Amino acid sequence: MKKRKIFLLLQSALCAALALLLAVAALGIYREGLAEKTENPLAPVYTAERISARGRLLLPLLLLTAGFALVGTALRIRDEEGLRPVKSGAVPRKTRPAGEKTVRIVLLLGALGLIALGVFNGGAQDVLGKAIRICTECIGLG
Amino acid sequence: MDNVKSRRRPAPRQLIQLYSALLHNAHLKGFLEGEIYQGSAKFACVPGLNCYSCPAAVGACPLGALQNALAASGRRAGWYVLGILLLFGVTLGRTICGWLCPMGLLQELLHRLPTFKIRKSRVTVILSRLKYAVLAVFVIAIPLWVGLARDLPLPAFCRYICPAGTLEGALTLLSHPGNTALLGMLGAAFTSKFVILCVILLACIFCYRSFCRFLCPLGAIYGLFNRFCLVGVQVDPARCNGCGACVRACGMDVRHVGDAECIHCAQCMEACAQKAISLKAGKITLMGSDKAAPAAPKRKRAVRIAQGAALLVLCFALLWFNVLDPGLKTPPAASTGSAVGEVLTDFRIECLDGTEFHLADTRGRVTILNLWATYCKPCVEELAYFDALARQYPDDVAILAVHSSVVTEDPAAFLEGRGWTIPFAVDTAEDLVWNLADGSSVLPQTIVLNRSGEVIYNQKGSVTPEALAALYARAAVG
Repeated sequence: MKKRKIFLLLQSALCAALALLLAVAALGIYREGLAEKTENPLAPVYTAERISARGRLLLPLLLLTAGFALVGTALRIRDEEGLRPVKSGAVPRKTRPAGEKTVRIVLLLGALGLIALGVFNGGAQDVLGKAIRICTECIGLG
Repeated sequence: MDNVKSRRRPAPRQLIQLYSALLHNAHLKGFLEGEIYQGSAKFACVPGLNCYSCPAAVGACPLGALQNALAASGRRAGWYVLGILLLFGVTLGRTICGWLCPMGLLQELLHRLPTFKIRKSRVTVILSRLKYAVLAVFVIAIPLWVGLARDLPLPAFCRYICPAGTLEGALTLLSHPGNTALLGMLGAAFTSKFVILCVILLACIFCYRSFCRFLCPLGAIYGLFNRFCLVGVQVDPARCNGCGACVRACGMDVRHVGDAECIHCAQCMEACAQKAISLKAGKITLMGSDKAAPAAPKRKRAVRIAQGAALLVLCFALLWFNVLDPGLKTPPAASTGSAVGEVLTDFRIECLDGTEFHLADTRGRVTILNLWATYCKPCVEELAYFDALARQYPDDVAILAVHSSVVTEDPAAFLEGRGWTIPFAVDTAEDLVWNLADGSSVLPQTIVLNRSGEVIYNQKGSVTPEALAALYARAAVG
């Protein structure tokens, strides 16, 4: 039981450390790149060299975390206490609201009407355009 | 041990989650090519949270589409996206979260890592309300406000938070060896979103479906329809004794089965000693020991038929989106001189003011081509920098801003009243400038030519005024 807890503690610490170090590495690259960018506005903030330099440092930790995960999964080590159902009292029985079917049909017809309206006013074409030529900043490339 | 067993998701759900993730991302060759799918299927929104900038994505993300529609609501009402969301909500509700959403699958896989787990509590119940605030502020208020008041498209949830965009879009595109040029455009936005992604993924390891429970605005939208949705778990009031075992066994912050937090994963069925819970589609029982359930052999046959049909659909989708679709992009046959150091191929294009832009006529001047679109905020913002540079060097700089051939609103009307003097053109239906300049599926893009027409810069991503000044200085000596 104690070994199990130590394993879980180690794996938790590894995951937390990995996430923390990844975030710190990104911030470090950004700070470093920004300093260079003030000197040379055309200099990229993120470069393959900066990323691989930090990646090399993080790789052993990543492999260790992945290894622990594999071992833990294979040995079926789980935080049984954390996965146990919570303690709470009985809950009131809830049934679906009356007139549910009517509301559903009305909403369904409304949805189909809106879609038809949207196809005719060019809304569907808008969705297509914005999905095939993408604004870079919107996905975090910026 | 029984409790632990009850925590394991039933196998059919895992298979359906995996199947759905594959169907959402059937353009698998996108991973190999490092390019997103640009076929016409992307007019349709997928039910789950799946970024349309993922190289494999074959549909549009409903949340991204909703924000873009709200941002553009001053010009065109977003009936289409609202209708799609309503349709998904009424038919499936949060069954989408539990069975179909690729982000849901990822979160559940992360939660399987053997670490300590945080159980649900009053704190998590309170935190589960946070997603409604995220929905109100980032998905509705900011895009509407910035769109209507400043006439700028800002899908704030995608821009500041969405982990699906960072993970499926940004990181998968960046990880492709052919996209190393994209590294040049990374800056504050990527850094902040990457840190947010790390925090969210970490939270998902320790706390079941953290993103889904606390932050996901799509789940918040679908939750509003949970009381009326066609497919979902239902409790037989005649059998239920109100013991609360279902709520206690549930990983989500539900108060009762089927409420706005319930993802209809049917995990509670195993915990119910009364066998009062079943998964239904209307009156048809899909899972559970309901009286109305069809007899075992009949049911087995129906399941087999459904499995066969699903497999056929998947095979067809994989074949269509990777091989057969005519919308699949083919690489250009010959070099157009768009790489740095090459001389860009000459072209003529009609501008919005009726004049013609002829590239050969700009020889002897620094020439800048900008590829943009009205719905792209960084594109619109940087147009002012190009205009300022053109005003600064009116006789030495030739600038042309080319709008993508994919037009979502009238560019001439969009530009009216902004006071910019640089020439604007809309690319031809055949993507003339886009193809010549090696334009891609990501916006914006800037190409700078020196006085002899040689490309000195061809980069995706926005430019700053300082970078533009440095580019001009570099091109002017060439």
